[in-house]
Amino acid sequence: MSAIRAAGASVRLFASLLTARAVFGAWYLASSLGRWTIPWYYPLARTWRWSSEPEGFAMDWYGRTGLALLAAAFAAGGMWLASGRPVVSRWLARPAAVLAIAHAGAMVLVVDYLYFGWVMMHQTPAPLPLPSPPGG
Amino acid sequence: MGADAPSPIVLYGVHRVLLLLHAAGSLTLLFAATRHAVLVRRYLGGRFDDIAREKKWAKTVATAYVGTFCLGALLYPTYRYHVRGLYLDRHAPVFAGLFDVKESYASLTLVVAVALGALALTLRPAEERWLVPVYAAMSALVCAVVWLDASIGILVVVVGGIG
Repeated sequence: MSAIRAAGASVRLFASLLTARAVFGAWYLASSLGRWTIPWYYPLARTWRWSSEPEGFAMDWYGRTGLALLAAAFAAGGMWLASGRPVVSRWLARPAAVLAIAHAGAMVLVVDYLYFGWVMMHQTPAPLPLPSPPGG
Repeated sequence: MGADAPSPIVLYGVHRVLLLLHAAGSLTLLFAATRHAVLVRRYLGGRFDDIAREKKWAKTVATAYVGTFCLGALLYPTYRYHVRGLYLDRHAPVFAGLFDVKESYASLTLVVAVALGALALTLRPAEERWLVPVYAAMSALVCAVVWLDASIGILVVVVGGIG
């Protein structure tokens, strides 16, 4: 009996983490494609501002990653709770179900890699003005 | 901007210490991710004689990945302004793009690396063999991204530097 429970916990955790992975990738991609409002960090002013586009020199990586992590954590928690229900638990007991979630996550990941690989390598360079030397 | 000149960037004053720790974390991660991928590959051949060691390395990968990721996040404003903004975008924009690829891939793979460590707590590879191919794919993916990111990181340090 304990072996069955342990196997259940393992499959539930696997499914939860795979769901988190898929949601993280989907959120990361959608927030970029859809130009969602996210927190931008302004390193020179050391401030944060919510917007869909930056106003000047700003970084989106923190906000995009942080919110995607939050969405992934909620998704993992939701899947963990849902997988405790008999219907979902029985569905997840079938290897095909977990493999389907894994394939969905892998698909999202491949699209993410291709999209961000392309976008990041095709940015317009925006050099910042050089600071004036001390005393100059 | 010289190291002694005042910088408006947060944590710029300790960026060399952070860079050293980030490099140490990266080396640990490279070794752990490679070791783990090799050990998990044995499962695919039906050999389950070293499960305890595999789980130890899985936890090391997850811990080292999160640590290195956080240290990189702390260094990122320094890189973004002093390296990319003032130098790479002006003289070597291809490397600025490569660095952003590295940052995006590191983020996209974070959950997978954490998952390896979490699954080490519950997965019983000898009994749950149908999960092993997915687990092995995750391990191989983390290993590949870690090597790619480390290679890009070294390239950017060589071209633009951060120290």
